[in-house]
Amino acid sequence: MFRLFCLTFFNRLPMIRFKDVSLSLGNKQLMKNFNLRISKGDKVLLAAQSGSGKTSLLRLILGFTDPDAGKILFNKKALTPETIRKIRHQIAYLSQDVDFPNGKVSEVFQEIFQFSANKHLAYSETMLREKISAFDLPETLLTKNTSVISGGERQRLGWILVQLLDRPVLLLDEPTSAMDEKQKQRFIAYVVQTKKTVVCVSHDPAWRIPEMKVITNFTP
Amino acid sequence: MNAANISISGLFLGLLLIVPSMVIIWRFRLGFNKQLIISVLRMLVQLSFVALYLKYIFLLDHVLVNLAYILAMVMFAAHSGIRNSSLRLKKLLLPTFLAMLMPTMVTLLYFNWAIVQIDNIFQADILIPIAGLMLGNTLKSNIVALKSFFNMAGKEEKTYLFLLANGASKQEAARPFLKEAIRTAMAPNLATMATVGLVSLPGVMTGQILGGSDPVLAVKYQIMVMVIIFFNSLLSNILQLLFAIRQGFSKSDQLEKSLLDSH
Repeated sequence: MFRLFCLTFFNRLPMIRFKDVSLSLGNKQLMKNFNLRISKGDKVLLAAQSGSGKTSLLRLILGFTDPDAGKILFNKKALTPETIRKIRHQIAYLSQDVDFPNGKVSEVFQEIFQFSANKHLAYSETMLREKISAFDLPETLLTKNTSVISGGERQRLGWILVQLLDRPVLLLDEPTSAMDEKQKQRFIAYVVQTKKTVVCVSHDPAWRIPEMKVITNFTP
Repeated sequence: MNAANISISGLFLGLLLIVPSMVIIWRFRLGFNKQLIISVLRMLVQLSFVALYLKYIFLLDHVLVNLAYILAMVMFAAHSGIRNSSLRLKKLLLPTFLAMLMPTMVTLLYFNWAIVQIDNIFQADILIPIAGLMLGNTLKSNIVALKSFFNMAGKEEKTYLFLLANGASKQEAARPFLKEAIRTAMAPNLATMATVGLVSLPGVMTGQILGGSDPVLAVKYQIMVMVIIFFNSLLSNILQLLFAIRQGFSKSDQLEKSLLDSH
């Protein structure tokens, strides 16, 4: 009973909080006194119209953009230059274009898992190979340059990275935009069953499922 | 070992070549006679000064004076390097200065101590010309390195952020830019080494042969000079870019866009 209580209680812990956050880009006000509470394990879908600041919301969580006013908290700690690095290490991020650096796929993955913050993770090329075949990608992809692979392949490689990094929080920006229905459903199913906290930006109605909390507006 | 002297009359006759040049420029209406006169006068004044103070510095040959002279050279080099790279001056001046000074001093003293093996490693008439040679080359390659680093960082900021968001430190995320910038900056050095002697005789050799040196000795100097220039530029490039990574990104690792503005 106590265990159950603990589980429910800790699962409700706020993972990410926006407190009265305002943000403008150029002369466009994207957020005004915006408040948001994402609990541990929540699945959030940002489905506001384009240009409304969905990507900016992800950038704010990552500390790539500073808010004009208000505060962002991650695990109860405010985002500051001192805390941001530790916070980033709990996140895996899929940007809209999945911006892998230039280089052979296998080498790019190798390099990412050699970052000092990722070194402790179990990684081998065999694991990458298994994921590649599990996601219906050709094995020849390993030796291709990231700059010549297709958008769909890139996106699936991004998902592979996210799964191998195994972080508690996933920030996904249009993560299925270049996929067919079957592929898409696979990743939506993954998000639904995972215990991770997920914030996903997408216009795609396929993501509008009951498990996702939908946010469509950042201004009151 | 002495070069044939150029007498006053010789100098005068040499400068006399300016006159037919001016006639040609006037005849063909090329329109740069005024610039020519200004340029020649500037050259005369500047080099006369150099002759004067180098003569005294070489005569004096005092360790502190020699070092101060090199310090001044590095300062001018850093200043003009930053100005020519159209990056924001103030923030990068000190790092550029250090990135040039530290490797140059090390290479310079190694050259005198281990390669030429002279007793006084601060000897002015070797220290100063060799420092000038190295700084000239290092300056060029540092500008290229800085420019291409910030160019790439600006253009491929998304890749930088993608890596940063997936576990990289700013140094790790900026490494692709660093690699590319060093490759670009060092490419001319490699090319020069590979083609030296095929087309023209390089400067150091020409100078030494004119100065009366044995061609074999001149070649030995030339080889050593190319090696130390390569080493010095590489070291200086890397330092320069490591400093740039420290300075070019904010406390939360965002790229400082203000550094990219031309002023």
